[in-house]
Amino acid sequence: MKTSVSFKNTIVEIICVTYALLFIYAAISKLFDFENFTIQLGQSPLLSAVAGWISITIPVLEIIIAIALLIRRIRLAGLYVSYLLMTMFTAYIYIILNYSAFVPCSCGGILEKMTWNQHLIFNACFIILAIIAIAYTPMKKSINNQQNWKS
Amino acid sequence: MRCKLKIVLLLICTALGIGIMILFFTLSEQMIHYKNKFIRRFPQHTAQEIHQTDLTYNSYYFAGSSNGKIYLGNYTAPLQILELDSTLKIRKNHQIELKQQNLAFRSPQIRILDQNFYVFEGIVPYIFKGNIKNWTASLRINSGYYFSHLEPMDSVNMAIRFMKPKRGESLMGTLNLSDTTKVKYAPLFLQKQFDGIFDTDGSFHFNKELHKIVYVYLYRNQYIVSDPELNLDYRGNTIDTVSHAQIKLAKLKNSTMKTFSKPPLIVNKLSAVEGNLLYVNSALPGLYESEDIWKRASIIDVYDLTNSSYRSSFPIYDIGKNKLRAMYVVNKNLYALIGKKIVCYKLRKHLMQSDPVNKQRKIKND
Repeated sequence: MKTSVSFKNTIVEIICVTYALLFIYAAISKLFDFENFTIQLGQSPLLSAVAGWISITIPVLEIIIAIALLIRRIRLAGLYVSYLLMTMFTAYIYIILNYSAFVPCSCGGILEKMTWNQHLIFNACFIILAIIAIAYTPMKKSINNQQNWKS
Repeated sequence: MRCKLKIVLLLICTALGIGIMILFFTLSEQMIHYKNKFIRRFPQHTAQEIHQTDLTYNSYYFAGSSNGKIYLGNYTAPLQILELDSTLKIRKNHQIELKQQNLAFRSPQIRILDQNFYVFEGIVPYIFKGNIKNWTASLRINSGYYFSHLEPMDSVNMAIRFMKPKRGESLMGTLNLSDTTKVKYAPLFLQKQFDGIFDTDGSFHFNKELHKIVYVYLYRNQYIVSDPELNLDYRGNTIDTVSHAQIKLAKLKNSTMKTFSKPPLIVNKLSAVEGNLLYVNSALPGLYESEDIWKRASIIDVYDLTNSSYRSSFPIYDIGKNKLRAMYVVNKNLYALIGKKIVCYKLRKHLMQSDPVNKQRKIKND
C-alpha cells in the first residue's frame, strides 16, 4: 500500500477516538440507568440466561476498551476486542430479527431512535472501521516479540 | 505475514463473537421455557383489550360458557344468571327455578357446561342439575361428604374437592350424578404440607379439549394435571420459587377453628385453562421486571400443558383502583372481571412464543 504512514496513523487515530467515544457514551448511559438496563437484558430473548452478570460486565468492558484504544501500546488489542464486541452485537441483532420469537425494544440514548435494521447498518459501519484501523496499525509489539524469540 | 496474522485474528474474533451469541440464545431459550428461574418474558401485543362493559355490580363470577355465550353467576342474587354474547354487547337475564325448595340454602353456586347447568352448595351438601333451555333444575345429590369446589366434566361426571369428615382436610374426587355409588376419591392427589386445608387450597378446572383436570395450588408453585379418573399425569411447576406454602396459622380461643396469624404468601391467585394452555395470574414479581407494571396491572403467565413449559406473560390492566378479580378463557378470548366491569382480551397465537417473528414486520413500533 502506498498511503503514507502519517495518513494511516491519522485514520487509525480518528477511528480509535470515535470508538472510544462510542463506548464511553454507551457505558455511561447504561450505568446511569442501570436498573432499567438490567431489566431490559432480562427481557432479551438472547440474554435472559446470563442477564445477571452480563449487565455489569458490558459497561465495564466498554470502559476498559475505550481506555485501551487511547493508549497507543495496547491499541491493537483494544481494536480486536472492539471488533469482537461489535460482531457479537451484530450477531445479537441478526438472531433477534430472524430466529427469536419476540423482539424487545431496548437501546439507550440517541440510538433509541434507530430501528433494528438501521442499527444493523450502524454496526456494520463500525465493524468496517475496526477492520480498517486494524489493517493500518503496525504490529510493533509482535515484531518485538518475534525478535526476542529469535535472539 | 503480518497481514495474514491479522486476518486470522479477525476471523477468530468473528467466529468467537457469533458463536458466543448463538450459545447465549440457545441457553436462554432452553432456560426460559423449560428450566425457568423466575424470569418472565413479555412479548408485545399478545393480548389486547377488545371489549368492555359495565355490569353495575361487582358480585358476579364466571359460571361457564356454552355455544359462544358467557354466563355469569351473582353471589348476592344466587339464582340469577346473566348471559352475555362474546362481544359483551347483548345481555339476557335468566332466573333459575329449583324443583325442591326445602333445603338449607345459604350461598348456592352455579356452573354451566354445554347444555346443562348445576346448582350446588358443598356445605349442605346438594347438587341440582338442569337444562339451560328452561333454567329449571332438579335435585340430584343430597348426601355424602361436604365439598368446597365443583367443576362439571360432562353431563354426569363432576370433579369435586371434598372435605374429609372431622378434620376437614381437602380430598379430590369425582362424583357421578346418575349413580352415586360411583363416587371416587384420590387421597394422593393433593399433597399435604402441614395442615391439609389451607396449604392444599387452590383452583381447578376441567380442560375440555385435552380432557384433563388441572389443579393450581394457591400457596405453592405447583399445578397438577390428571385424567378425568384422577389418575395423575404430572405435577408441573409455575416459574416462581415458592415450592413450600408459607402460611402461619393460629388457633382461635375457645374453638377448634384456625386462622392465619399473618397474611399468607399467595403464589397463584387465579387460573384458567383452554386448549393446550394454562393461564395463571401470579402474585409474585420475577427477576428483571419493572415495579411499575405490577402497580398498574395483574400479570398472567401462560404455560403449555402438553409439555409443562412456560411460554410467556402479559398484563391485564387495572380499571381505576380495581385489580383483576376473576378470569375465564374461551375461544381464544380472555374475559376478566375487574371491579364492576367485564373486559374481553383477544389472545394472539404469538403468546405461545414458538415461531420467530416475521422478518418483514415493522419491528420498532414504540
